[in-house]
Amino acid sequence: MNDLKKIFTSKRISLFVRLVVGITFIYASIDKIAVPQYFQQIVQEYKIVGGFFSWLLSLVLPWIELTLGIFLLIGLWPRFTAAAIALILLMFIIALTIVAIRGQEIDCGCFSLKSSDLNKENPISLIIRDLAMLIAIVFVFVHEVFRMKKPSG
Amino acid sequence: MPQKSFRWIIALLILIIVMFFIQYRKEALIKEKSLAGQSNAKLPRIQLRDWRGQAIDIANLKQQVLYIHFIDPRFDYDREFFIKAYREWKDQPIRFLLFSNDPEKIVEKYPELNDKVNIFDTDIEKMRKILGSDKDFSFCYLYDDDRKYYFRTQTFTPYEYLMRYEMKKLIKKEYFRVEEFFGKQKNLRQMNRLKEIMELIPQNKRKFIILGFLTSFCESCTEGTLLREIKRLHGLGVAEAGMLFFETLTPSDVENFKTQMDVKFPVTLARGELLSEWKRFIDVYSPVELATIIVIASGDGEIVRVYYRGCDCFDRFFKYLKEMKTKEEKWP
Repeated sequence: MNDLKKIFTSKRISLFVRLVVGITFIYASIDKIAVPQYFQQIVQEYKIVGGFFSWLLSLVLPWIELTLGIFLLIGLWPRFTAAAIALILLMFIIALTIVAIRGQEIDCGCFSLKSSDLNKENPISLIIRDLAMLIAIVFVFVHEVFRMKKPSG
Repeated sequence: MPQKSFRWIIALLILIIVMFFIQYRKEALIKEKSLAGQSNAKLPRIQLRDWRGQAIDIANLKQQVLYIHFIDPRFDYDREFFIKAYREWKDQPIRFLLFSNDPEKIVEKYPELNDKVNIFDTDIEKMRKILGSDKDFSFCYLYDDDRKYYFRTQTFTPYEYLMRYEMKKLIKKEYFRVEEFFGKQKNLRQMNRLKEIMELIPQNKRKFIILGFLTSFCESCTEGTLLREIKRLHGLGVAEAGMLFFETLTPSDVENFKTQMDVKFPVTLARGELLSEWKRFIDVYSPVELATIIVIASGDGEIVRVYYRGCDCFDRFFKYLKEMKTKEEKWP
């Protein structure tokens, strides 16, 4: 139990996870902010939201990813940031699960939107990747909770 | 400085750096989209709606060759170009996307254009821009089953001239391979069919041989570029050269060609066995496929490298010729 607590209170591990997830989120937002209309097409390919909502999502989501990525990287409001990222990852996982249940193969468009980089991927592998990030961000959240509870002095 | 203010400053700095990256990626992605009609480019993700209201997502058209044609209903030749292509390939895994201001007219004239043909009367200019197609001309494009650019041509030339050949090559993988022409023999000097021209080309072990097989000549085409390179290498003393013409030229044409182009190496017309062999291939394939063959051989005639239409190696071959600058350079 103490070992587990040691891991969760380790500043180094938390910093490392924050760096990895933060940079991943910033990187993932770049192409989507650059050409939102490409991203909208990918959102529509998921066939979960269409029309106005796909347009709204393609405009707003990348900026949220970028903001949360920067906040996580520099450690601003870490509990809130970690919780928000976890929520977004959960949203991605749900979307990918729906796609997987339908048996669809999609161009994820998670990072690059360059046509030559887009390839149909099995949603299961994408779910596994997002789950790994979710576990990592939950770790950051728990670490921050422990840190706040720690008596000062 | 309080820690929180410091963090905000860092956040701002990161944001500025990211904005630079965003600008860079925006240019790269838009450039990629606007160059879709050029070699090695992929057709970007585009959503279109045809004149019947059917939504087409280019991204979902994988596993099918895409034939895109900007049709001008004013010109019969343009419609004929398309209809010939359609009739020949309609049963193959190919999707026809037709862009025209006048879909009703086309469908009225050709009711056979069934659901395999999507006609678009909107987004024509947008597509032309993406593919880099001049709006004053009729162009058609071929994209392979991975949406990668394959070929384009203007449609004032007959369909049979280039497009049919490229479609055959892309879809059926049927095309003339130079190995069929040369057979198992790898030495130009040992080929009886080439005896006449090879006797005119001096044998020099320190020089290479460049032998061109041409059906016609146009200075601004591939043949013109190759001739300039051959002349350069011949002039430098790196290579001995020779040219053979088939079919379209007469002996006086050959003499005029030599004078006008200032050619100092042997140029002859194909005759006898060589000519009949050539004709046999033209009956099987199209003349386009056999239009230009360039062979590089060592001084004693051993074939080193061959350029011909089907090898899709013109850029590499041309670069290879360009790099041959001095006598001292070793061939290859």
